[in-house]
Amino acid sequence: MRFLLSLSIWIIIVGGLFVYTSSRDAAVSKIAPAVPVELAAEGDFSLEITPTFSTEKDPFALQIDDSNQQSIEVRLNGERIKLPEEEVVRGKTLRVDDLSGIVEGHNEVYVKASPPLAESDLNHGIRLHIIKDGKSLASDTIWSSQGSLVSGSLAFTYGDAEEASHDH
Amino acid sequence: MRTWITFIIIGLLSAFMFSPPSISATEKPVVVASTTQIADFARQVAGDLMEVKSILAPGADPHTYQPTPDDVQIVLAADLCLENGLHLEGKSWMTTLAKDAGKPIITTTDGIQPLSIDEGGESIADPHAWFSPRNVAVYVNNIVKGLIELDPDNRWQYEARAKLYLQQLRVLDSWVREQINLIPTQRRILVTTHDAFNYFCREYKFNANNNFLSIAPVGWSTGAEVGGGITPERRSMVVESIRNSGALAIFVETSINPKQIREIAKETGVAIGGELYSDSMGPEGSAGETYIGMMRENVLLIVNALR
Repeated sequence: MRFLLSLSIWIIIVGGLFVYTSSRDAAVSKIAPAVPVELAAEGDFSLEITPTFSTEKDPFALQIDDSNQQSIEVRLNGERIKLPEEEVVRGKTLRVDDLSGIVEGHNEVYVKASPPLAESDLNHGIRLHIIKDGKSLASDTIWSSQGSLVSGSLAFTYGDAEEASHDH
Repeated sequence: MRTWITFIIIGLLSAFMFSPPSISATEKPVVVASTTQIADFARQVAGDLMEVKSILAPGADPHTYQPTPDDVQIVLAADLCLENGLHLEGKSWMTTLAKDAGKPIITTTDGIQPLSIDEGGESIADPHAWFSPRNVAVYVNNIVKGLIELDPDNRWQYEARAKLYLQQLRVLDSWVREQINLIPTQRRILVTTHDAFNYFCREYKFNANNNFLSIAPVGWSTGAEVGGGITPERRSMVVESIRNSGALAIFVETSINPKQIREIAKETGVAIGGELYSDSMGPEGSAGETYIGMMRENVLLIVNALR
């Protein structure tokens, strides 16, 4: 009798604790994180990409599927940008018109490309230039040396925040 | 008293019932590689998501290795096996281990254009492909595919790690070129105790007089190095060969007993450049415990002796 009583008390205590912790965790997971609202920027945007090198097949590329085969990769705010199907040639500007994905506030253009291994003794770079309605919005050059990939990002602010940043 | 004992027993039972899943339920997939190099490549891609083991210990020779009963147990517990292939594993011991255990195996050199070497008058594929970082990129791509097939849920992690490692290999390759460039071309003669450095010589332009392939002293063989003995005739061939090579230094290898070659080098008057990592990487804690570390140390040793 005493054994059954002890067993019942333990089941009630431990079971109750288990139910409490499970329901608490479920409640926590239901709270949706506050995702900042992003407003698409209005206007006609273009991106110019000018490398100091011509690309070639990279023996050090990840070759899992075709998506990794592109010699130059550009992303705007995390989304891959489809580039014109042109050869990437030293000094020749690749232009992407009707660029979509720029938002009010902070933006980031990421670029990655592999300079030829035979030119690993040279410093290489890629100039990124964002244009809005024919006027320059932001530009920067990403550099690499010693045969490493050219990999970096151009960060810029667009909209009210941009104007505020120019007030000082 | 009895009440307390009852409480304790039931308490222990409850703790057991509500405890987290046992370790066996959360065990990581096990990948078993034949050599230390391949295990290192796999670790760079798998990270902590998988347990990577190597059959060969640092310093062991894959050509002459004889698997042990412990190796059979290791392979039996594997989810995936990795081998070099191109007959690096003498008598294909890794394939045999995996086949006998019914485990999948990937040949990590698949897709590499092998160089040919002459062995006993017969032309065979040179298995030491990892001496070119470009070839290692092929090893890594083969390994990534295998790991993704084994654990598709974590694909992006394997891809992300592989991309980082491939970039490191790229930088390593250009760094090696820069360092080797410090050696005048006429002094770029690399003589090692066995011809494991063909891919290295071809990639970084050593031994122009030997079609940019590795030079090992004539009359010297792996069998002699591991204790097969060397006859007086073969010894004089080795001495003559080293003198004729024009090398400033000869290099011994960490996986091979260097005693005899040191004595022979003394006789020829050629310096010993040092011990190179070749068929195996260095022990844990050494500079050569990773592939990049082993290549870095080899290059520094070579440049230091020949520049």
